[in-house]
Amino acid sequence: MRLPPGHVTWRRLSLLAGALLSSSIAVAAGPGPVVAVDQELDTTDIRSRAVEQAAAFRLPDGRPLFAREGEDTRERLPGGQVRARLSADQLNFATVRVAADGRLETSCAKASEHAQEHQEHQEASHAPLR
Amino acid sequence: MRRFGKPSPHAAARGLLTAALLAGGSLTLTDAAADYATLGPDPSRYYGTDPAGRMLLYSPDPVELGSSLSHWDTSATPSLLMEPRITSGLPFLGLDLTPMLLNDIGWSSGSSNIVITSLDPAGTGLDDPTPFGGAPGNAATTLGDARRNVIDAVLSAWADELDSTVDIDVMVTWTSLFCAEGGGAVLGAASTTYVFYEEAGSPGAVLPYPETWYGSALAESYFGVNASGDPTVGDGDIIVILNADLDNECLGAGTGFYYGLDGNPGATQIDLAPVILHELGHGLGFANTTDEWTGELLYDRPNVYDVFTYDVEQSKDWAHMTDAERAASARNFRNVIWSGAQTTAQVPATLDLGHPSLRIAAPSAAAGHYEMGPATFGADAAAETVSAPLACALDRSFPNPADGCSRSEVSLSGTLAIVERGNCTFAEKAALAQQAGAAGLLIINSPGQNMAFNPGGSDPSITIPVAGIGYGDGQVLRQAVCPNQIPVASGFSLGILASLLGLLAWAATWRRRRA
Repeated sequence: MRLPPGHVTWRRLSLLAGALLSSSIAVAAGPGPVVAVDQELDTTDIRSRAVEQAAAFRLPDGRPLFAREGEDTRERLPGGQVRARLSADQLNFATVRVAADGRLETSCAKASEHAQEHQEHQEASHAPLR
Repeated sequence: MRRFGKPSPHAAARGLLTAALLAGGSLTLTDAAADYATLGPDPSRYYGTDPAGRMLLYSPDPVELGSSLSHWDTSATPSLLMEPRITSGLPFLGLDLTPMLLNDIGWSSGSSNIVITSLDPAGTGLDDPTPFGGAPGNAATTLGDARRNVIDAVLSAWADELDSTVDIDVMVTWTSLFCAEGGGAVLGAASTTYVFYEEAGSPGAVLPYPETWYGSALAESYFGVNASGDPTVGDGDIIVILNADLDNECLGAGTGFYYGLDGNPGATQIDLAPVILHELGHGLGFANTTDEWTGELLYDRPNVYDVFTYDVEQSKDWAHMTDAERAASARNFRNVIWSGAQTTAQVPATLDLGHPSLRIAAPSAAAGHYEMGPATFGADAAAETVSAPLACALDRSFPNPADGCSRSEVSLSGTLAIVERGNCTFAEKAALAQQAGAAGLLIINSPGQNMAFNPGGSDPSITIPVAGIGYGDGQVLRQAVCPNQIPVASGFSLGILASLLGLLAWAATWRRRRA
């Protein structure tokens, strides 16, 4: 049975509208989640630079102070204990950041090999007012 | 006539949309009197604790870099030494709850001998001969002595708290670390140098938890001998690194470390004593050795700190989780607590009552305590209490009818209104809710963001309290208060809705064709 032209048009329009709505909303939803970033602690760059400097730190006799990242430093002691020397990324770094109003904001956290990845995530998701 | 006698596909689709959008709102109106919530300070809960009175660890979502969990949550009031922000205004050399946490991991109270060893060449660091003009409580005449006096004062505070028959060797170095004028700088860092464990069943084992890492100073207090080595060659118990460039005004004119011993630095100075006090807390054991990003343990063994790091939702401590569970727990905001009994016992003597939260009495499906973050505008949700029934705002706007960015079709009068984040500013949502007569406003964080947050912005005309809650908590509330309201927070959901409408219209057309 042949349908009146209007019905066909409506069906096509409905499907087209659904498809368009889907795609337009996907765009409106944006590239990623929106997060309230704790600005006082967003000192990733500072800490990641610092861990590199700490890792390169040498004792007066030229030996590195910290274990290299990934280096297995475990050793068994005569008493049966096992000990391991930590690497510089286990350090807790105190940092200071000059805020927009000039105040000095001090915070503490470890650095991490995931610094860059984390920083990009934070920047992509930063939107403080909405 | 037939065309008007049957619903057209268009009418059917419009009817479905209207029903879908307003069904939850209708339920809210019907049940409003029973849906009761209170926003504001909880007079029975200590700041910075969970409802059971245990200290919250800092577990932000998204996870902060490095060891966030090695700090208290930032909601503690008054502020504590081991919060991630080293705030000014702490009692000078006050250790608050830190010794109790160290007791929980195995330290005994008592006294010890802490020995400083400088790793710096002569004429630098603690031996720097640069003339020093003095500071309150610090009569040094050289920069090196000024530094040593501050470190001595800090170490004395710790030495009076912790019992060990073995010297605690603290190695100190002043070196050049990152500093950007007008931007920021590294002040310093500290850590235990070594960690130790004993194998399970090992004869003569003395550490309370086998197969568990202990920091050097704590382990030695059990061993009764120096197991780390000679501090003069870098084998002390704790390493402290400080940025010597701060004393050369690397941050800008007038900036630098404050060497006074009165806790009263100038506006452009950084009080050195609390910084070292805090970092030494980490070095003495207030720290895990676990990668909080991946959840991986150090050489597959937990740190004794992990034994007391407890996720109340997973009902597990970090020592008994998988890597994936630990990584998830690290961002389980305000659901990770310190389970140590000695710390918990000291909470009432240390913290104030009134932790701000959202308490739901009804509907029963959502009853409980929820974390919330007060907005930077409107009435202070951390200080003022509002009790009202809950209601989900709903309008006819796209892309999200639940975002509170247009006038709500559901009455919000006298309610704590619930809206979703996005598409307009927090202040705009608040203004609309206030115009609709809402007593307060709850803004649900974005999908996947389970952390309560502080909605930012400014609007002096807003007088109602506004607070941000986590996405997961928000969905619990919506499910209980407006269960038939279509979740529309994501474009994906709306896309599905739109596709369904299209399908419905097609089906209606197909039915007519069959008829």
